[in-house]
Amino acid sequence: MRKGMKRLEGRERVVRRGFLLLLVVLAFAGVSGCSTYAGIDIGAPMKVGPVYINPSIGVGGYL
Amino acid sequence: MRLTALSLSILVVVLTAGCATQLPEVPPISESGTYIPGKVVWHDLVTPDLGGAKAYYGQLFGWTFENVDDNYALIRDRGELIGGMAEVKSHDSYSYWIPLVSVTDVDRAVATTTAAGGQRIVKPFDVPGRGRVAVLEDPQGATFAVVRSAQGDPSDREATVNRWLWHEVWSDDVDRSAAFYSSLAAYSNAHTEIRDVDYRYLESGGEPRVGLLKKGDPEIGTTWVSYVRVADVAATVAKVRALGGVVLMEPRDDLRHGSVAIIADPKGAGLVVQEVER
Repeated sequence: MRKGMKRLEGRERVVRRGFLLLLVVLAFAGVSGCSTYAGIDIGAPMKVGPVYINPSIGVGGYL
Repeated sequence: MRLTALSLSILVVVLTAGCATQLPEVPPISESGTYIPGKVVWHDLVTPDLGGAKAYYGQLFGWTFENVDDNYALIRDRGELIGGMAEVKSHDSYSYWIPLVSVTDVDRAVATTTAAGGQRIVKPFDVPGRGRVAVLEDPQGATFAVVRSAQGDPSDREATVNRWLWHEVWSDDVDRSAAFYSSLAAYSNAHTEIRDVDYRYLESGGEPRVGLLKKGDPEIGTTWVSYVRVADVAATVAKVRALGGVVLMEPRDDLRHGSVAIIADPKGAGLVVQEVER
């Protein structure tokens, strides 16, 4: 009987710790999700190679 | 169970108050009190490595930095505010220069963009001291931001060395870009012929604001491109290499007599650097 109670208490402790851990993770996610550009994920559009040659490049600097 | 209830309360407070307390006060973009819709009034670099970006741009352009918090720094050139850098450690993210275009109503600009087939990347938010901002993707996929600054936009003046010189949108369909951006801000379409090139651009307030170029290759994503004026493009390119950046396009004699180069920082953010003879 006492053994069964102990096992039940142990399981409750594990569940409680898991719940607390989940809360901490959720709180962290909530805070980090509020920063200005959080969640933004832009692929780099620029690539290396001779793909930029356009006679118009640099013209705007003279307007 | 008492502990659990307490934790739950803390979580609720954090989740509800977190956004309000997370954004720190920043200086205004300008205190001019006047607005220039359609003008690019600010630049933010989004990067996964704020420390590395500060070291790179500090040595490349002589810019200095002022930390606002652990994730955001202001950029100054000879003491004057010219932009910011935000650290975002998203998975797979690259660095990217986001131009902030002045609009009269940020929420309306978001609605216009989504109605035209663009995307809202970051919903409108108020930055204490700066104003209201939203990050968007135009209908062809170029990322940019719109802002209604708190105390006005910077007035127009000639770009000096190591300052923002010009902006372009590179896309597959220039007509579509022109139509979209004209609906977003009070732009009028213009073109000019300079050195045998017919160049299209958008004007607002009687000044040229944004050039519109057809991409040279479908391999390049549709993008906004910002130009920085430099004193010596060859020396800048050499510095880029020494600092771990990438030279995407070398200066070429057949392109503005070797006065233009395209570079990327060590995390991928591209810029055009240009010498300008007036």
